[in-house]
Amino acid sequence: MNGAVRRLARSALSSLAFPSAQACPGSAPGVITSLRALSAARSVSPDECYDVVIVGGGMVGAAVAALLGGNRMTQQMRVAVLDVKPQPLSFTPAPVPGLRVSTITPGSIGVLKAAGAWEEVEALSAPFVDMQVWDAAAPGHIRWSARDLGEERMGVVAENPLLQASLLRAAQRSGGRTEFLWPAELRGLRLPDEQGRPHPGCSHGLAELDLADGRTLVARLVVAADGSASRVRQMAGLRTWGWGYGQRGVVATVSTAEPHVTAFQRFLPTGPLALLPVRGGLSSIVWSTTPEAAAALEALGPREFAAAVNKALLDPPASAASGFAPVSSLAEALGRMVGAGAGGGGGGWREPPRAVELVGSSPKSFPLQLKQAGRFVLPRLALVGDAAHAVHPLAGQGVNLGLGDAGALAEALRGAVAGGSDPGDARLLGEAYEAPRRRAVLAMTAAMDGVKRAFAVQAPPFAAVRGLGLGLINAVGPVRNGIMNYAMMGNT
Amino acid sequence: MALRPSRPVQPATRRLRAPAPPPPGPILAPLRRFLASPSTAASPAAGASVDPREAAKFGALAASWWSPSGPFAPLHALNPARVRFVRESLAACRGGDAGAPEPLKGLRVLDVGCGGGVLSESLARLGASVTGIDVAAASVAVAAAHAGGDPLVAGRVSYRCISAEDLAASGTGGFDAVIASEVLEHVRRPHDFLAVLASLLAPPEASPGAAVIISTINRTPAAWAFAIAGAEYVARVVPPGTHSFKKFVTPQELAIMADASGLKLWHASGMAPLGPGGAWALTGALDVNYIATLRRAGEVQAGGAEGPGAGPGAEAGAGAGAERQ
Ligand SMILES: Cc1cc2nc3c(=O)[nH]c(=O)nc-3n(C[C@H](O)[C@H](O)[C@H](O)COP(=O)(O)OP(=O)(O)OC[C@H]3O[C@@H](n4cnc5c(N)ncnc54)[C@H](O)[C@@H]3O)c2cc1C
Repeated sequence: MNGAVRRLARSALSSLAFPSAQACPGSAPGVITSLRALSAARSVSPDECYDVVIVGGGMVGAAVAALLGGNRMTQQMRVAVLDVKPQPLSFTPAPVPGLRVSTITPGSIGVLKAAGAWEEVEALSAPFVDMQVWDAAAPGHIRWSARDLGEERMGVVAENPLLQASLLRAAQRSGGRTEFLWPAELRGLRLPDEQGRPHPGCSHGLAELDLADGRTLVARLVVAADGSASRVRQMAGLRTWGWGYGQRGVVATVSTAEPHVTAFQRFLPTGPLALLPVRGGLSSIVWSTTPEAAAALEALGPREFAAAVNKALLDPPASAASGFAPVSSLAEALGRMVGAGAGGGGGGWREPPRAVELVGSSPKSFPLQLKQAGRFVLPRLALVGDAAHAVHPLAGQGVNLGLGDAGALAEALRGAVAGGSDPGDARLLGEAYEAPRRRAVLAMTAAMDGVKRAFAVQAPPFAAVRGLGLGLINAVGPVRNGIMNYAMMGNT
Repeated sequence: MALRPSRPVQPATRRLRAPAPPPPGPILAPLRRFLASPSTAASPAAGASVDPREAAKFGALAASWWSPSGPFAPLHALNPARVRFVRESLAACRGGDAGAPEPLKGLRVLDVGCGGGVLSESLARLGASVTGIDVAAASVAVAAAHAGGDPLVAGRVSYRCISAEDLAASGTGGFDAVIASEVLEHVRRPHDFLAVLASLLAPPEASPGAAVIISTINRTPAAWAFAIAGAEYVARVVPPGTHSFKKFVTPQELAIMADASGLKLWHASGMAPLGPGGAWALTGALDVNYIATLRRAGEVQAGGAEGPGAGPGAEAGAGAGAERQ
């Protein structure tokens, strides 16, 4: 039977594209053991293989590494994090917080806790206990309070470098087998095909990464955490869809007349403006607007900028004129259905504090976009964070979605180790990682894009709907809390 | 390199989609895991060499054993559940730590009817040193080729084209665990088969806590509906004729067979596609697919033969949700 087996083995091997496949010698009937002989040329030893290579040591890549190192089941995985630039393992707070900040939701706090990074983040971030959203074109507001949820806070505002350094340090500390490889630039990537058959250039069925310094890494799973312009995603041939908004986000730090603990967000005809509490009693501004307005804002002096913020936040709403009546009766009908009036309520209006002046770096702006990869996984590849989806940072959900990805991927890999599965198995990644994350990302993208587009329309009837909509939602506690739960947990 | 067959070979018959092995020993333990149906079992054609076109077909087959969307997709879906059972059960048998990343480290495990190696590779990833055997040469070739894809797996598994009976007769044995997953329902004389599996275990002094693990299909109306009518005729996920209802084995019958082989049915768990996204989960109902651990009678106290808490479901011989006919 030996010969037949050898032939079968050879044909199977060649179909799997292993070069120099050899059947093994053996005298016992039907023995075809000695698998190491199968890939005699250019073979890799088990010690050379990484379980997971994470490309990109930003917040999301760091979170994946820290979560794997922090879990008993995945702690033994050999993990490498590589980045084109050396990344900071420590964070020294500057007197004025940096421009790039994120609102961290309770869902993301859970991820940071599991990763072992929460204590450090908590110590150097600013909590917010309320959230208030209102419209510039019509009356009405929504106000959420942590009290309604039985929580001490609704989230924190943290500087991105703090999140990143805390996560990287947690990964280093965890006792896991994590190596940082930087500077290291990715030059080439070889993945199995869609059916999981080995790449023709590999002597094995794993992934290979070529680095600029001539090294080649072998990995069971490649995690693309290299941001919205992901090279890994391009090399894997995955396409994205999406569009720019023709808008820019302006970020700045301001001092205010008094400190506060509310995340304020007002929808202006040109886009939303957020005033968030940050460390040191200061506030962070995230202002989405037209490119012209953004350029003008960036050119303003410290007090002029503050005055522009105050005008945008505090000017009374424009009156909603024509086309009001039908909308109003619709709103009343809705109000009766839910047993509430069409007016405000649900937590009184709170006036945002006045901005005094710009502090720290001068304002910067960046283009807003919506971009999503058509697929988040392939055999031996998973996209996470901005590499998988870049969404309008309207509700500060960019980082939250990315941390949700990291949590789901780490959980999928924990399941893989428990079930003896290959961590690069596309079926496992598709079911345990991609499917839940695609749902979360699509829902978030649709919600944010919908809100954005609804508010971008300036015709009075729409403005009236918006105003009434906000008033109505605010009056109805359970609905309001449901929406907020979704917005704040990020990864339901 | 042209290799001439050194002994009579089992060719793949051209009219078949899947290769059929010869009846290798006193017991036919053939066509493993949906690979082919009993009606396609052909007798060996001695001395025939392998047709290159057949070889190409095996190439296609190789892809399908491991293709995420191929005919073996249900097997891949079931695999993590049975591996979790093995993880927990063997740890409990041996007083090991089921929560360790590689709880089977240092154990010699035999996978009887390994097919394309789906279970063998998982056991290797749990740390075991695995021998996979199957009587279908093509499957063994596929398994070996696939294991070569990952050096860690390649270093921990070896495959042989041999029946359990011939392996036992050759004097090989001494395994810490012998696993026959989705095999029992295909064998002609399950009593004898179980005795052979028991004989392949290492002696008690060398391997206290050694166990035989069987997964199979119960003989209940639900099993008939699910495995025969459902899977074969409606969904066509497995070729019609793969399963013969009469051959299905109830947990009671398994317990009686175990007794005759000096084993005790220690604990059992159902397996059903009830998890999120149709993932298979371990359940307390043994009425369709179930998996059971059999231990040496001398190592489990009569009356005190409690399985680990992790195994929901049956006590020995009295499977919850057992035969309802
Ligand atoms: C100005 C600005 C403000 C934002 N504000 C907010 C906000 O307020 N709230 C919020 O939630 N989100 C915000 N976002 C979005 C948020 O920053 C991103 O969602 C988040 O940074 C994504 O993290 P990431 O780890 O996926 O990618 P990144 O943070 O982009 O990290 C990618 C990493 O990969 C490395 N890398 C890239 N290419 C390679 C390569 N070829 N080889 C190796 N390494 C490589 C890079 O050096 C980098 O370290 C903002 C985005 C911008 C641009």
